[in-house]
Amino acid sequence: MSPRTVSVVNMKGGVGKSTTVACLAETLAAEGGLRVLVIDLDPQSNVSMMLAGQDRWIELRNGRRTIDDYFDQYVYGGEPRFFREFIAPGVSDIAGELTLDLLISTPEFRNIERHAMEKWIRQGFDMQQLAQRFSRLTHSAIESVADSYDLVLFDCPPGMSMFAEAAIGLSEFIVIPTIPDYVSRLGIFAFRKRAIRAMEQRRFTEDRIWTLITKFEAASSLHVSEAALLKDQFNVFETVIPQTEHIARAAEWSDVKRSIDRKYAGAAPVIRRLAAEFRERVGLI
Amino acid sequence: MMDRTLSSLFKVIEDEAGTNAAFAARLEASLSRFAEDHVQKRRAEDRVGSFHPLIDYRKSAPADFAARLDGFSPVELRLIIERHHLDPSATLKSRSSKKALAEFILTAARARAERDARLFEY
Repeated sequence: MSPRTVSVVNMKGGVGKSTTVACLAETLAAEGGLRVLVIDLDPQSNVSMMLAGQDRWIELRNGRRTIDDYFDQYVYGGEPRFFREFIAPGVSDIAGELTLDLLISTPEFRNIERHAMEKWIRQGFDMQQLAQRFSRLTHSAIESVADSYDLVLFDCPPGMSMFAEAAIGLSEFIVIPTIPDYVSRLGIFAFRKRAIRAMEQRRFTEDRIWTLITKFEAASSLHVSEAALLKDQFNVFETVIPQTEHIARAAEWSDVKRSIDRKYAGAAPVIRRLAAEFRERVGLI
Repeated sequence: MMDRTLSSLFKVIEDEAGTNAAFAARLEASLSRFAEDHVQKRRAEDRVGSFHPLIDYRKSAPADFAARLDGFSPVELRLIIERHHLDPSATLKSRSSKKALAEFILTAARARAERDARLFEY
């Protein structure tokens, strides 16, 4: 069976994309028994650091097992290596038997796309062909490991990149984390049409694009007002992620393995609710 | 620390009220005014709780929306304006009539609905 593919994306930064990916991946792998692959498409490498920890991230980077290195072989040539070889197995500081693997990114990832575009445009490709090429590369990479996972999560960078476009193009579902405020809501509009087009190309409908309210402050009348508006305008998760120190602290790697309850502390119940709702929405029950 | 400080402050107030009848009367008047304001505010919050001017404007017929606004008191209308940030430049006068407040909400809701509709074409 093919894995469910989900892109987590918003044009705006700082809305909790990487945190959402990390929370979902860890909870679904540790408590849901799903085999999860996270692909970090963001050169900021936040989810890579959260899930692999700094030491392993450096080790993987030195070992040339990054998303940059995977695509690098197609841009610069060199000895071909299988996609599977780039994936770091068994990441996360959550204790127990879980299948949670990761393809890390590094800050250099931003250069790969630029170099690829320069090279392929020199070779006579137009933008549409370039997009198709990025899409084919991403698609064949996922297909090569499809039998090993139940769920593939793409952590997309803010703004838009060719790789993010490719990920969205092959995703069955899109999650848009959003802070309930004006500028974050703008981030959805800036991206919504592109997402709908991607869904329609695959003969899916708009109801596969979901908004997740993050960093919610119940005492803020602005957040309450904007959250109601988001629920009225978009397909929004019932679960709302509050602004809490517990989630911010959970981002920091621990050398000693810990439980979901220990890691997410007071936020563990809401993280579990999100994972359960997500699982139901993607049909992985 | 804060608890201890407040406890000793209340003790001073209590002692003074026990021996100073004028002070006690002023304290009582002030507290009942505060309680009244608080009750009024809570009541207004309950009344406007389910009303969202931007959502209700879009979903209601103009006459129904106007009737809904008409059912609110000036305090409630002001609370709606504050909660939904409808007067970002603080242009409303403090002594605006109920009619003026309702019209203000209607105008702001219409403007926001039009702006949002354009965003969907972004």
